[in-house]
Amino acid sequence: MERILGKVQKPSRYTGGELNSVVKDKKSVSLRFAFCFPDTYEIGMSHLGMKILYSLINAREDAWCERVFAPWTDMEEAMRENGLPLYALESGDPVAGFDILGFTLQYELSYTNVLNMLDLAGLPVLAADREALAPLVIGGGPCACNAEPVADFFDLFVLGEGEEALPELLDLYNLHKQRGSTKAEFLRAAARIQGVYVPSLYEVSYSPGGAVAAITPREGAPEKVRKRIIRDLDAAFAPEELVVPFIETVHDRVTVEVFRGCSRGCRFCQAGFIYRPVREKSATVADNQSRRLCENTGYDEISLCALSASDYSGLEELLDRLLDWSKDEMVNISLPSLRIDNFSAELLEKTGAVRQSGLTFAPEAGTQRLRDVINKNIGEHEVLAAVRKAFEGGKTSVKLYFMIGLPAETDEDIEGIAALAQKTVDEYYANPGKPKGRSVNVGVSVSTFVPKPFTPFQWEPQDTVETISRKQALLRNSVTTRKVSLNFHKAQPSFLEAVFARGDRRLSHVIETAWRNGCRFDGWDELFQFDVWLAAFDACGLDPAFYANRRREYDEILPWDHMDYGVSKAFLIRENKNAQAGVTTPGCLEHCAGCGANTLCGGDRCAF
Amino acid sequence: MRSEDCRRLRVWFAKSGRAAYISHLDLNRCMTRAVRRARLPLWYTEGFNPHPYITFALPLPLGQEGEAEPMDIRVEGDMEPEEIKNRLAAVMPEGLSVTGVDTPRLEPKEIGCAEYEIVLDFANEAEARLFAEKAAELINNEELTAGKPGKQGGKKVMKQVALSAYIREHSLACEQNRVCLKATLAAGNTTNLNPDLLLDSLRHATGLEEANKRIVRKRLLTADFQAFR
Repeated sequence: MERILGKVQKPSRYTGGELNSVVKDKKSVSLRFAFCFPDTYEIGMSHLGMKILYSLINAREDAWCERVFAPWTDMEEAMRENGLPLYALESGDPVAGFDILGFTLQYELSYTNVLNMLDLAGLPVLAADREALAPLVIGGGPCACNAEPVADFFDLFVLGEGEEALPELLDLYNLHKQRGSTKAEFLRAAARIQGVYVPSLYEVSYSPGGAVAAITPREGAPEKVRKRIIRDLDAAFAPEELVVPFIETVHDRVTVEVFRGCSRGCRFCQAGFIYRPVREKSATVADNQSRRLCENTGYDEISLCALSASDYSGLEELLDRLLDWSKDEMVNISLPSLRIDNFSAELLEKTGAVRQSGLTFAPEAGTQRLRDVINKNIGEHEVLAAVRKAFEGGKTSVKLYFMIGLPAETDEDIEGIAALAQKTVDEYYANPGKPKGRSVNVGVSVSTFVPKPFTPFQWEPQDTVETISRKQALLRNSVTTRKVSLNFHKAQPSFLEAVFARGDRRLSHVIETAWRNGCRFDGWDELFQFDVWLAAFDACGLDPAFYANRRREYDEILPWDHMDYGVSKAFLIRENKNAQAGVTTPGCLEHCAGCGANTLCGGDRCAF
Repeated sequence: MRSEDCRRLRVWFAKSGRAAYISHLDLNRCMTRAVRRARLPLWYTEGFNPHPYITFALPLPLGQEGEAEPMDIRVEGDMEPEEIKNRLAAVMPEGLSVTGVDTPRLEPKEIGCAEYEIVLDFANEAEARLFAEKAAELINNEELTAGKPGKQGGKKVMKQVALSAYIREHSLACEQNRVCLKATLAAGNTTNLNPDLLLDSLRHATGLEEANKRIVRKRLLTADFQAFR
């Protein structure tokens, strides 16, 4: 081990031993859980869901939850060379001997890493080839809303929020482990827990055209698996300690969630639909949690986390409470997700009270017409007012996020991105109080639109890679100033993401083939091998364009139709038609659009 | 508050086990958080990015352990060093332990050398014996060289330097398959020999490589072998 660690980059990714990591006596627990994050340590350790579930499981006396991350290629090579199997960071024990391996599926391009981790653990990648009850391989996270492309590798998925479903599942597992049940017996029982999806209990058939013909549940599995939600965030489990990494992670700070869900309904945004309904945490609870976490970690920054933090109704109260103590403690407060239309100078002043942090706004589209299509509900004057406030507050750089390849997009919309960036530059120079002799930098970050399940755009074709390349070139030519710096996400990974986001079970062969041929860390540009992927599709006789670039009819059976996230198909169709007509839909707080998420709260109205 | 209103203190700590893989940059961040958790009356630097003042006299290379490493901090008020030591000891992560807190007597620039213990485990006893014999000969005959980055006419080049100039004292012992090399090596900001570099050149010259190694910095010394305090 020492020899290996001496030869790999960033060895403390692999050593564990961080402050607040939980070490238990393995003889005192009956259930060993490995929380597996299929990406690097730095990315996984930034993930809030893992922190919550890690603390939640470790709060149980009968269980020990440890962390596992995908080893980077140098470490993988060293592990394979020396016969070192995948191990958990806390104990150093091989994960193959654990009871449950829980993978979080945050993005489609981490799928090959799941297979690679199972293989490094010495386990067969296909669920059907793992006969024993342990280790059970389970998945969760946003991609679980259409986990069909990886269904063959997993024993079950937990849909929605895990704070209540996971303990129920662990109890059931313990019971069946004591009884000596077979895996099939356990899975049949698990499928009765709301939110648990056991893919092997569903048969999927396909029509000659390639679309899904039928999805048939067997052995008492429910027709539709309904996601779980936590109704009361104040009462929900929240960690009091966080593992404090030695190496710098992507989000290296205290993260406190202030609400779940989003009331806005931007039509491209999967998170805006699958995390419904909106549920807020009270300012007092969020303040107490922030303070406790700062004391127990020594972090000097708190990030208030939500899909749109400035929409939080308790924001002002919370900031006042936080600033009461955070200034003296030299703790900085950051808001990672500001809405353009409710961002105030006061807010900027408060969050900048201790240290400066950057500002990012997301107009998403270049013209008002297209912003209406995607229901972004933001006017150009609001964008410009927001950047003006930022510049008046002393900022000399802002970042703007856009997408290209949106439904109904024209060249005019692409040129509109350049025009809006130019107007932002003009706002800086129109500010009489601008710092003398300093130039402005407007960072324009452009990603490729990926149509996702459970959004009004789930039927839409994605632009082909060629079209995206042409649009990127058009935008590059439309920017005429060096004060605007353009940054494009590559189109090819987005194409693959689109394939898997709306894919079906047949794609598991493609994923396995690509992985066997060397694909891993596909979300990392330097390791992305598009030609290997295309060869894998070819070898499996599947056309990726069928999944990414094809328009679906409203009545087509979608691979994820047996998942129930509260939001109804009728609502999504209505929203798709509104998008085509360029008609906007107000957010939930203004007017209920009847999406169906209220049914998750068990009543007529959503919980808020 | 101005910098002259604060006290400088020297925290002595040990870094062992898997904590050896915490890099210097990461250790800095880790200690910054530790002093915050300990709720010490810290003095913060002034300016746009206030932070606690923490410096390390001589950072440990990655992968090496240290038994008596100094870290200088600045505090306000008159909290007793013993209290500071206890508070810090209570919040340290695994592998980092605070052994004492006192007032610095010497400046970091007065560090001249350091004592190391290099423990090497070989595949078998014969290999260990052979390595020990060859190593003793190489060091005694002043035949060891290594490439060190240097400058020639303003350009960065790798220079071959004789390592004997950096080895102040040494002793070699061999027991079964284990070789233990105790060495006092030049250390400090001007002349410094990283024991990993010495080990590399021994491996190269003997053609033998250990299966496992452990390098421990026992203590820091001045140029005339007085304890650095």
